Amino acid sequence: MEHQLSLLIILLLNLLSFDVNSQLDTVSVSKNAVYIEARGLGGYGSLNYERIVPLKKSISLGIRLGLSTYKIKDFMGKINPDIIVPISLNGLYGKKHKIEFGIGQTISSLVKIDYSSWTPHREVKFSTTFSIGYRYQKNTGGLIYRWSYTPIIEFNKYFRHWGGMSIGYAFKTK
Amino acid sequence: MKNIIKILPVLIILISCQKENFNITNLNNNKISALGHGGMGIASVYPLNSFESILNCLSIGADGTEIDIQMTKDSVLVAFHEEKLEHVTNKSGNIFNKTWAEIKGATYKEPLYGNYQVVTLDEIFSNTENVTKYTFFIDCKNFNPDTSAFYLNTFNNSLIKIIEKHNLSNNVYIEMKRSDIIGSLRAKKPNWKIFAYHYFDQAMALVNEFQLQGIVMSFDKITKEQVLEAHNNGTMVAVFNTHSKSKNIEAIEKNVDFIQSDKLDHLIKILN
Repeated sequence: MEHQLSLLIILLLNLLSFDVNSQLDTVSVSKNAVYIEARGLGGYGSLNYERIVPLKKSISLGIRLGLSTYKIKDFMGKINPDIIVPISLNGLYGKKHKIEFGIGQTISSLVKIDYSSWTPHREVKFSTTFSIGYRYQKNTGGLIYRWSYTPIIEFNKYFRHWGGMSIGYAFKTK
Repeated sequence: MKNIIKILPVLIILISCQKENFNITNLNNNKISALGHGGMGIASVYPLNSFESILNCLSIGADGTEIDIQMTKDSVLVAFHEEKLEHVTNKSGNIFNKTWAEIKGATYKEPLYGNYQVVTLDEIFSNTENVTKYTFFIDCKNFNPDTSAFYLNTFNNSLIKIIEKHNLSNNVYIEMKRSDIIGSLRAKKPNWKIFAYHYFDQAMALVNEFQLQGIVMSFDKITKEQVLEAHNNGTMVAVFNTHSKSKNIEAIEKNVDFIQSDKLDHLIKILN
């Protein structure tokens, strides 16, 4: 699983360094976005940053990195936060009204009981995520709305139907 | 106007810090025990009856907790609320149709990425530090339709074995709904604290028939006058379904003896 994650990160870094201007001769395009997602890949909700890489007029890629938590204190009352990090690569098609589809990994690091020693421990797991949905986002930036069906293969074992809704902002380029 | 603006935040702080004063008169030494509902209750990120939820409840200062139990085909008491495993876990079927080996390792579906497991009553008691300092309400979920003497005996013997193994006879209150199981347990343990889980009239009828110590019901299904009537009969009252601060206060004002709260941190704060 760590191998899959490494490949995903390498792919994302390559995309981030992609020379957009050589491929796109349009007006300046918003490249950075932030949004809050309710439910979705972060569990109950997450705060996300997305780097947008325009490929053609109506096609772009989004590289998303999110952060979420369930609890800051663990069940014994100690500061020991649950950490959930959704990472995904999203394809976007459309001008203002876009179709979005994506694939990714969510890293969850939750504090729970070790059921053999019966003591608290931190369990790190990986889950494969998919998404398909609608996104409203102008290429030049501004408000973002999105809703997606986000099926998850939890811990790469159990298939789960899931979904999420987001609201956010794409920063306008100067 | 400026003065009002200056004073207003101070007033808000003073009002919010005001301690609630309750005049509690009941059969529990004029004290209400603050208990968790399956641990931290239905709104918690931890699943009902999970060990994490129960430890969390005890760690924030609760007097104890309610725990739902069901018996497997091989007589293991499992801490679980729902009738079917598939409602909240990644396994399926009724607990009474499965052995513990078949259930062990079942994980709750919520929260996503949680991976919290279904545990047994014995595991909870064995791994809770200073377990004898807490109060436990054991809610017996007898979904098994079997009414045979063999089933009643097996269920009650399993319960007695675990409670006595952990020296919890004085700390445990047994919640039961079915009169056949109540009668069977009462015959085995005349001094154990058994509470009838039913509507008020039916619960009081069971109390009088089997000389039970108390009744348990949703806080909104019993009036303050009925609590007084039960107390005048020497019957203690436990309530649940207090999902909010206002419902906690409403339950306290009824002078009940025990509250199994889903808003536990608030209940502990206002009772202490």
